[in-house]
Amino acid sequence: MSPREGAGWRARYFYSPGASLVTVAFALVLAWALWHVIDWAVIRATTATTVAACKEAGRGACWGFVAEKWRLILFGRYPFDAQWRPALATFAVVAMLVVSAWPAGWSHLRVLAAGWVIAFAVFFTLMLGGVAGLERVGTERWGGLPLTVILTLIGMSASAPIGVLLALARRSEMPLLKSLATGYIELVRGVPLITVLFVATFVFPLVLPPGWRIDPFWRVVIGLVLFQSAYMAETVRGGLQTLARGQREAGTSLGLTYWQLQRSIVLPQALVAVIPAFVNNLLSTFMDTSLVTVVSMYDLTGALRLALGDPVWRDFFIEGYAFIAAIYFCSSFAMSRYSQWLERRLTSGTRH
Amino acid sequence: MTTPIGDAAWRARERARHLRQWLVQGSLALVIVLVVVGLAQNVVANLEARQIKSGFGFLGDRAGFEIGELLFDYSASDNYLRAFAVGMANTLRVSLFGIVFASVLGVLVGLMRLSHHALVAWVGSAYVEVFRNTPLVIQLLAIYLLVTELLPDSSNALAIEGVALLSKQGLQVIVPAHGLAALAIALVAGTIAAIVATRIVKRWLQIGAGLIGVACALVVAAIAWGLVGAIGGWSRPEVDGFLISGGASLTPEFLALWLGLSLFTSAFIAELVRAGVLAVPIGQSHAALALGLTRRQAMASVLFPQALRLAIPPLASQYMNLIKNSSLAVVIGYPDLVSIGNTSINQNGQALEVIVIIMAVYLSLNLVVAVIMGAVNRRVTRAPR
Repeated sequence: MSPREGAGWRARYFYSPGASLVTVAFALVLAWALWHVIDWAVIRATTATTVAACKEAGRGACWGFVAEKWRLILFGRYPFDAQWRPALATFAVVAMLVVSAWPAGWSHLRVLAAGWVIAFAVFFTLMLGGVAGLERVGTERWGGLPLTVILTLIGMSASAPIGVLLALARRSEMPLLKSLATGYIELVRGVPLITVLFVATFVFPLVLPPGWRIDPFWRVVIGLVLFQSAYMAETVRGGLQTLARGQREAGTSLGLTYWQLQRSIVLPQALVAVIPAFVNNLLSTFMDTSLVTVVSMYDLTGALRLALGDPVWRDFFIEGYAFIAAIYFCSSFAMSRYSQWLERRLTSGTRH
Repeated sequence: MTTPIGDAAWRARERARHLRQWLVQGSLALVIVLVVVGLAQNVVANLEARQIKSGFGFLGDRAGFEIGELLFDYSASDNYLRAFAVGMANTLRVSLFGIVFASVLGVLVGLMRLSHHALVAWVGSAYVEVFRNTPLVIQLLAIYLLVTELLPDSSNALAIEGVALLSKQGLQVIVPAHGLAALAIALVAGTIAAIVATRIVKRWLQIGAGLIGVACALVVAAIAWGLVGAIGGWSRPEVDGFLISGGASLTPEFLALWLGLSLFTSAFIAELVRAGVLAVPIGQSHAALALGLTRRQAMASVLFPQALRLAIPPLASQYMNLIKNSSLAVVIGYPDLVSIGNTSINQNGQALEVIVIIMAVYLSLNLVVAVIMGAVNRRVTRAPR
């Protein structure tokens, strides 16, 4: 910590001639930048929803683009009249995520698990429709924020168990199992996500029996899960390594079998130790989903590109990117702060 | 004869356990072989049904597409192998440029975050948070659009007369007319300078001789490069109507990718630098100050060298991430290995082979980075003699 923490403003910003100079220089540059941003985003900006009005307003921001296209950006090509469904569906899973983030609830794991099953069921029922008088909407029309959110959540929840198994296999005494797991993890971690998405797009259809088809959405989901499980495995392995040897030896000498040992001694301790790392994995999965736009899925990023494809509005790309960058930034910032808070909470009492 | 360990019952249990393990592994091997054979049969049947060839023979076929960014000669009538080589060269070039720029920026921002000056530290944190918390794809797309939409047309490019031009057509800079000769001479001169300088400096400096050697090498190389230009003449960028000729050209795609990768990765490197310095025991800092070193001297010769030891292994993985992330070139149309592979798949459908090539290249690049950084790490962690 800086020795000047908590000192008065004079001691923090003007403690020496050099520091005063730096303060003035930085303050001037920041003020200049801030003024330009405010000038563009607020003072000269217009909320008119016609291109003509925006052109007339000149150099200011044209929030009319966002006002006009926000439904396309947030929900992609989902049928316009039914867009309350993706909104409600996204709300359901995000609410469940927020509830799960509350540590006091972790002692009721069964309730949480049941909550997630219900949240996913609600999501898919609302999104797909076809029951209870809801019109059926295929996954090819999904897009925007709901797609980003569901890809992140499935990617995370499906890769967690696979990651645990891979991590256990990598630490196993069986040479074949160990080398297979190690090979898989290192292969996947050594290549870019795009190549895994290419495998999902181009190779999955080839390995299926002739005549079978796989929905592009599920193809991408499987690709993301395969990719994420390798990273998850390394996270879990980090947790397994923090465990003292004596824990396992004590368990074995009590006569526990391998799976009993893992279930009741090893994993509960190892997994709790890496919860902050899990949140960071969730964060990177969330950011990684923006890559699916490369294989023609209209997630938040893809939907914005769709909106910018309208030649009339093409000039206002800065407003569009500012809008979705703000969505990504707020979510990621919240998650990373939450992970730091958790880490402090979990390690409090273990550090001097 | 060795004494057997344990009693008979324990030995029997151990034997049973080993047998079980071999049974598990045997059945695992069997399942994997069956699955692979089954999938391979499906692949063969599917390829036949779609009339797609297989094997790497296609590499000798005519590629038939142009590439906008070349480090060596290539035209549409060359074969796929050459097209892939161009892509790989482009991947390497943007990664190398990116690694250098990201390291410089990262160290700078990391030091800013450590500053005792609250405003400087805050600006450093803001930088890190902004670039870490937005997806790289969005940063790249936004930077690319900024470059191609907001920069002036080539006819009224931003110019330092005769030296550099910046416009929608990218950045053009002055280079010696004999470009390759200049690079070769600079490389030789730099290497010699590095060896000589390190030898001389080692006589009176125990640590840091390597860094001074590198600095000397860079200066001498730059002078040699400039001399070739001064003697053999320069190739200057010039605007002629809408066309720009002369000089070395960096396309807008390259600029956007380079800048995007560098900014994004530098935020992570800044965190490594900061974590590394903070991990050095505070006593080291106190001792250095007590010896009469200024804060800057303490940072440069006591804290930073120790922080480097901690930071190098994670730094290696950040460099690998940068190389892997350069595959996002495909979203802005920079012809890297993955873009070329994508074009090739769209032309001849040989996805399996192309993906194998791409993966093999990335895995070998990772290996190269691991070997280089491993060597650097051994040098840095070696105790000064």
